[in-house]
Amino acid sequence: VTPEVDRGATAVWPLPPVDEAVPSGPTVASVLLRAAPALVLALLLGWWLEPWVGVAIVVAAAVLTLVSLLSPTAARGIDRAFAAVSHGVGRGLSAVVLTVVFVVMFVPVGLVRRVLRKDLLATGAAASGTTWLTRWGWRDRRLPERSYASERDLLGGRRAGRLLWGVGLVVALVAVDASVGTVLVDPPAASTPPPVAEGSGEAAAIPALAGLDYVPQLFAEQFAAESGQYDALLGWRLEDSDGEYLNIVGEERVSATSAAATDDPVVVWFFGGSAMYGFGQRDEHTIPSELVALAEADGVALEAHNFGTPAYVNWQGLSLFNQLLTEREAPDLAVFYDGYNDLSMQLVDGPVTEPSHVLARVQEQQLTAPAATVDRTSVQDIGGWWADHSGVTNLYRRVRDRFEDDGPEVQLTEAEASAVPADVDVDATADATADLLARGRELTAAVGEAYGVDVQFWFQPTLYTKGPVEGEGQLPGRAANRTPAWIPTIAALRAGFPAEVVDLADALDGYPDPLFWDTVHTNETGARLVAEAAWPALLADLTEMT
Amino acid sequence: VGLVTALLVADVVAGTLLANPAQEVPAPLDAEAGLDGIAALAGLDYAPELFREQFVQGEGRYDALLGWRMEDTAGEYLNIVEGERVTRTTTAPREPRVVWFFGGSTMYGFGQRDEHTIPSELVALAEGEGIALDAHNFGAQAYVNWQGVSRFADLLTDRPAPDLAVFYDGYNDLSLQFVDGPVRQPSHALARVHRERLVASSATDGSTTAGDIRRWWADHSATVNLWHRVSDRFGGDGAELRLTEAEPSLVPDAVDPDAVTGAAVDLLRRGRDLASGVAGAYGVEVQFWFQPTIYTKEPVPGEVEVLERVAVRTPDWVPVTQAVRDRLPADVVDLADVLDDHPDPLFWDAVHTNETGARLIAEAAWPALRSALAGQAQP
Repeated sequence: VTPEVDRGATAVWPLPPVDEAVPSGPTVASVLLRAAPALVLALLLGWWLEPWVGVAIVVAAAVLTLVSLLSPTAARGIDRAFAAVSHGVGRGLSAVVLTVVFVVMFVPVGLVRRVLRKDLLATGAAASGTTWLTRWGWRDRRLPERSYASERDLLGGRRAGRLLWGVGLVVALVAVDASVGTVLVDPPAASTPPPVAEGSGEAAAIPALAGLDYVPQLFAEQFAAESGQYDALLGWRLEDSDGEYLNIVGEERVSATSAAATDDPVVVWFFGGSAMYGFGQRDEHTIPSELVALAEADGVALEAHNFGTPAYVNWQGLSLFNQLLTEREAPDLAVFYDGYNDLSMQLVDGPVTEPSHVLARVQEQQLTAPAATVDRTSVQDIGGWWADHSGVTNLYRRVRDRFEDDGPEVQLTEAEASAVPADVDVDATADATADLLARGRELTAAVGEAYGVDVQFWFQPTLYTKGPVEGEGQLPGRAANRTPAWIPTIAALRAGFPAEVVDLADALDGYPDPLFWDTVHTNETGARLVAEAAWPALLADLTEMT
Repeated sequence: VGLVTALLVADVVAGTLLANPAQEVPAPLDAEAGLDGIAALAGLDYAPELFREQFVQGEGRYDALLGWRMEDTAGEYLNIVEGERVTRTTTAPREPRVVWFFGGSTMYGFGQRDEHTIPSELVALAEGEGIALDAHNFGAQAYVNWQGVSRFADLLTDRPAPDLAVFYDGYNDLSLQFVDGPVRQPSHALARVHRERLVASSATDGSTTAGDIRRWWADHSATVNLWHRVSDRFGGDGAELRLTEAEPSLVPDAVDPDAVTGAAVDLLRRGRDLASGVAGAYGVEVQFWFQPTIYTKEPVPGEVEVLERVAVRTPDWVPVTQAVRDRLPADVVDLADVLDDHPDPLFWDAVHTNETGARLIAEAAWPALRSALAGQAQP
C-alpha cells in the first residue's frame, strides 16, 4: 500500500530525509569500512613483501565482501570472526603501544611537570571559577523556528561544510597516498643488479656475461663514467675516472702496458665508439689491450692509447684526432674502428649528409626549445609527479608489470630518441653512411699525411653481421634502435668499401658461444677475437714502418 | 584541509584567469631608433633594412660538431646561398683564383651589404689589377678560429679545394677567453650557454620536483601575482627579468691576463697548425689574418660611445690584445693597425665596422693575398 502524502502537510512539515530510514541490510559505509583496512594491508604487504601477497589479500577481501553482501548470516559470522580477531589483536597492540607511549611520553612529561611545578593541562581558556569550557559555536546557533519541522540546514554552512569535508577528505587521501609512495620507495640501489645498456636487460641474465664475477662492479663503473663531459665541438669527451676495472687517465681509457723490452715502442692511437673504448671489458681486456698482448707475443712493443669514446661516430673520432695532433706528440699510427654508431645515426635520424653525432637531434631540440617551456611546470608534470609518488599507482604498476612480458615501464629518456622510423630507406641510409665515412677517411688520411701518421680504418663486427648463436637471439629485439634494415644496410655499405678498409665484420663468425651482450658490445672473449683478427693488418703496417 | 585546498584552487583559478595581457614580442632590433645614435652608421639609408635582415638571420642553424652554421637566406642586402654569404662576382676576364674566407661576423660582413664585405672588396681590388678572384665567404657569426678551421676541413671533403684559404680571427677568440677562460681546448663562444641549457634540459627531463610544483603555483597564483605587482611598484629595480643569453657575455672581475693571453695564443697556434696541415695535404695555400678592433685603434669622436655599449667589457682588452699580437709568428698577417689614423668613425661596436672599414681592411690585406696568389702557378 502506498502511503498517501498530504501535500498541505508536507508544505509545513517536509518529509523526513531518506537516510533517516532504518537500513535493512549492509550499508555502503559498512562495506567500505570492511574493505578499507584490507586494501591498506594489501598495499603495504604488496609493497614490502611481494605484489602477489597484496593481490591475494585484495582477492580475499573482495570475496568476503561479496559473501557479506549476499548473505547477512555469513556477514554476521564474518563480522564476529573479524571482531574476535580485532579484539585480540587490538588488546595486544594496545598494551604494547600504550606501554611505549606511557614510558616514552607520559613519564618524561610527568617528571618535567613535577620539576617545573606546572600543570600542562591548564589551558587558561576556561572561565574563572570553573574548568568547564564553552562549546565553540554554541552562542551563534539560532533556535528552531518551526516546531516538529526538519531543520537540518539550520547551521547554514552545513552544505558548504560537506563540500569542504569532501574536498578535504580527497586531498587528505591523495596526501596519504603520496606520502606512502614517497616513504615506501624502492629498495636501495645497492641491492639492485648493476645497470646495463638500454634494452639489454640485466647483465647477469645475459649469456655472454653469465658467471663473470667482475661484471656487476664493471658495469657500475661504466655507467658512472659513461656520459663523460660536455665538449662544445665534439659533443662530449671522456672524463677521467678511477675504478677497479675501468680507469680513464688524461682522457684516455687505460690500456695494458707492453712488457716487451724496448726504449722506442710503436705508438698507436685508437679511436672509435664504445666498442673500442671497451664497454663490457676490463682495462686489461679491451681491444687495444689485447693488441698490446698480441704484439708482445710477437716481440713488438706496442704503446696503445685508447681514445675510444662511447657513442662516437667516425667524424667525432677524426675531430678528436685533429685536436690531439695539435696538442701531443704525433703517434706512429692511428686506428679508426667504426660502423655501428655511424649506421645507427643514419637509421635513426638519417639520411644525415653533414658530419654530426648520435645525440644531435636530442641536443638540437634541447638547445632550440623556447626557454619558457623549459622553466614552466605543466599540469601534466604535476600529474606525472603524483603518479611517481603515489602508492596506489606504484602498486598498480608493479602488479601490471608482473602480468606483462615487457620489463618495467621506464620514463621517457634519450633512448627513445633512438627509435628507428618504420619507413627507413635502406639505399639512402647506406649511401649517406658510405659518403660520410668516405669523407672521414679522406680527411683523416690527409691529416695523417700532414703529421706523418699512418692511419687504418677498421669496420667493426656487430650481431647483425655475425648472426646470433644460442644466447644471443633475444638481443636484437631489445635494442632501442631495432629495425630489419640493419642487415641489408650493412651489406650494402660493406659491398662498397675500398681496399684500404680492414673489414672485421666477419671476425666473430663461427664462434659457438655467445659473445655479444647487446647488438654491438662483446664480452672480453669477443674483444680478444676482434684483436686477433685485426692484428695481422696492424702488424703489416708496423712492419712496413720499421 | 578542505578549506585550504578550496582557497588554493580559487587562488590558482583567479591567477590563471587574471593573467597578464599577452605581451608583444619586441622586434630583434629597433633599427631606426638603435642606429641613429651610432656615428659610424649615420646617414646610411640602407642600414635599417640591412640590420633587420641581419637580426632575422641570427646565428644560423644548429650544427652538432660546429655549434652552428649559417642558414640560407634571401634579402635585399644580405643573402646566404649554400651556407656562404653572397659575394661580388668578378668581371675580370681570366680563369678565377678560388679563395675561401673564414672567420667570425667581421668576415661574414655584419654591418655591410653583400657587395661591400671584406671578400667583396677584395674581389673589386683584384679586379682593378686584372686578377679574377672567385671569393667564397664562409664567415659565420661569432665563430672562433677553431670553428673556421673545422668548417674548412669539412668543406675540403665536400667540394673541390680552393687555391687559397684565409682565416681572419682574433676578437671572438679573445672574447671567449675573457668570458669563459682560460679555455685550453677548442671551444666556441656559446659553449657555456649550451652546456647549461643541456644540463638544465636533462634535469627537467626527470621527475617533477616539489620545487617545480611550487613554481607552478607561484606562476598561477593570483596572490603571488598581486604581491609581485605591488612589490614592483615599491621596488626601485623594475620588473624582475629572467636570465638571457646576454648575461653570459659578462667578463668576470678576476680575469688573469697572462692566463687568458697564453690560452688564446695556444689555441690560435693549434688552429693554424691544423689548418696548415690539412691545407698542405689538399694543396691549398693558407693565410692567417689578425683583425683590427676598436681596442687596437684609438677611438675617434663618434666611437668612444661604442665602448660603453659592449657586452664583453674589460680594461684588459688592450693589454691582452697587444700581448697576443706580440706573440704572433711571422706567417700571421697582422691587420690590427690598418684602421689607425682614419679620421672618421668606422666602428659601430667594438669589432664591427661600416663598409668603409671593410674596404680599408681589404686594401690593407690585399698585398698579402696578391703575393700568395702570385706565388702559385696560374691555372
